[in-house]
Amino acid sequence: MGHDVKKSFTPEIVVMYCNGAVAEDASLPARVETNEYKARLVMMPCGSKVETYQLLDILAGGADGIQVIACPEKKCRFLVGNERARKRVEWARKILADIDMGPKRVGLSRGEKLLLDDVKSIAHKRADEVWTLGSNPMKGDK
Amino acid sequence: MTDNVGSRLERVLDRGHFAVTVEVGPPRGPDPEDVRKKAAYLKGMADAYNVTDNQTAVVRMSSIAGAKILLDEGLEPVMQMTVRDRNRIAIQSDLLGASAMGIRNCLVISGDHQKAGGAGKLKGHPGAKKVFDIDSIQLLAIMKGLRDEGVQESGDSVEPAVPFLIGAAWTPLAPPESFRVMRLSKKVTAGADFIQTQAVYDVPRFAESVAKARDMGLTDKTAILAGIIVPRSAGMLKYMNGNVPGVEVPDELIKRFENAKDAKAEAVKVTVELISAVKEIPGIRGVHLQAIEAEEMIPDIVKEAGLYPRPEVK
Amino acid sequence: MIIAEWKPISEIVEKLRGHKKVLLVGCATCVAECAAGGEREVKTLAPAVEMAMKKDGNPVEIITAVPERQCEWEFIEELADKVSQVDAVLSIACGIGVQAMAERFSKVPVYPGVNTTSLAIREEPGIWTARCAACGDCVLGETFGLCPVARCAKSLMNGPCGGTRADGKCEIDENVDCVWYLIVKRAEERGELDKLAKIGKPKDWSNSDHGGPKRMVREDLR
Repeated sequence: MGHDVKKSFTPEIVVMYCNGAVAEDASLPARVETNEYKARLVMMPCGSKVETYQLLDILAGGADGIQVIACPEKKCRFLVGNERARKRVEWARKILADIDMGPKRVGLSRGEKLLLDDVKSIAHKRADEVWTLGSNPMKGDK
Repeated sequence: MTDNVGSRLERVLDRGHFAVTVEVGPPRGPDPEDVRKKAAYLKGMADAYNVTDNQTAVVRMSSIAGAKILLDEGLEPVMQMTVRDRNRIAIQSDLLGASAMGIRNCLVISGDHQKAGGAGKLKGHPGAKKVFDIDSIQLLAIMKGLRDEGVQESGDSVEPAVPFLIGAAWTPLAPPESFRVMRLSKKVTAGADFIQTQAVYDVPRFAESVAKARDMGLTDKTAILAGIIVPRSAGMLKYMNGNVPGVEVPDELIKRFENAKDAKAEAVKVTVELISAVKEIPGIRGVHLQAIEAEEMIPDIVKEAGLYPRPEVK
Repeated sequence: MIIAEWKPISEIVEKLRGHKKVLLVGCATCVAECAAGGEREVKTLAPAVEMAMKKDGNPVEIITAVPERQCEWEFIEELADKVSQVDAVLSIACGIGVQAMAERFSKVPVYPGVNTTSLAIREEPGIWTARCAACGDCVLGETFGLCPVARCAKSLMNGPCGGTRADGKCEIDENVDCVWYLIVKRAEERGELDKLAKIGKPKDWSNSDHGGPKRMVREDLR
């Protein structure tokens, strides 16, 4: 690839999913561990609850990446919540770019009636993006 | 209108001739030869020659220096003074200095904002501090005070009074159009002896505004010279039409250049047509020709427009 | 309100290099209103600076505070304890707040984390525009309540210049109104266009910072 090959690591991802985006009987666990990634799954009552500072705090705490899952556009139970989520994720990405941490450590996707396998697949994609950015230099600090 | 400031332009207008002024852009450097070269082929083509003042906020040899060089070559200069870069102290000082060197005409304008300098290919100085201590209309009044009463803006005297033919700009077609004639009247009240307008391409539209100025009695009090920028290509006209406030270019004119086989010949032809057209407008006392970065085109244009030689006025 | 915007974090990193513990202090008034230095922005900037400093090879610990107003001595007095714990202060209040902190806590470097830019109004969520230039010689009574000093790029008293765009915007920025266009329109709405025939005289700028650093005294309040 040209750049120095980072030491191999297993990306640690936090998935913040909107309650309304998953199937009612989805019953997601708090953690998922595979060979490719480790994920913590956190439920939010609405996508709009996500704040930019939370995303940055999570990364400052050592997570390699974050995936926010919100409801499809125009299907937010609270009307504009998922639009707000998008803008806050964008602001976080802008700041991450500004400090050269890699904007792609944070992402937003949309879905409805998602099951555990769907969520795992989404987490895996984020983990792949994050793997190219390398392990978070903040690890081991907190 | 005044008599007796010792300006050729003033005498030409006073005797009722159709005046011709030409714009000379000073160089981005200190070499007086750059100005002398232009003076050599422009001599005799106009009644007076404007030297711009850091146009588009790009640093060039100062207008006052360029004007003095023209004067030394036997051409009558019109110094230009923006209010963008100098406060009232520096401006009045420069006016005294210019007058001391024999410069007798000064055109006053707001000036392009300093951001314009960085808008094109050059870096310019968009970070320069803003001055705009006074505006162009206030400066007209100040110049009138210096000339007719021998007073500075402060009320302090100057000794002797400062002779200048005072000029201002007019952009009749920029919004809000409803106010542009009233603003012209403010310039005339403040002291503008002559006016050079923004470039005219749509003659009927321009004539409408001039008629309104006439109705207000302004064309009796000030000499309006129609501004004409020599069009060089369809691209240039399209650009100006969309990007230069107050410039409106009829589609037919753009099409002429799109279909023209010889752009240079068309440029001369169109300019001459525009000159003839504005000459017909009552209240228009002359033209202000601008061939930007192409002053060498001026002699052909002036000759083909039947404006050569310029009248003898001693 | 006074508005400010974050400095590039790289500039902040340059200043904080060499410091170990920093107090990031915001302000709950003007800069909170313009989303630059309030509670939320302090919470957002803190982890961002921590990560940037770690990447820079100069990790720093950040503690935070958001006083009601950073320009009031009695409010910043309450920060004394936190200031005593750090070796530098990063203030994201306006320049007044930064200086108040620097004056009260003169033994500790106080760095600005924002650039203070203007006296503005929030036109709508997310958009603030300059309204006042603190020129010390208010002419709003002559311009139908629209400020030609703060809102005209050339501060003309007898505008508009020839640079008004076709849609009434200013030549320097397609998003900025030509305020003289607005003044004329408002005058026309009131049927008072003739009032604009009067020539506005040159301003006396001396009652603002042009006349020297401003000092205002009220003897009755001393």
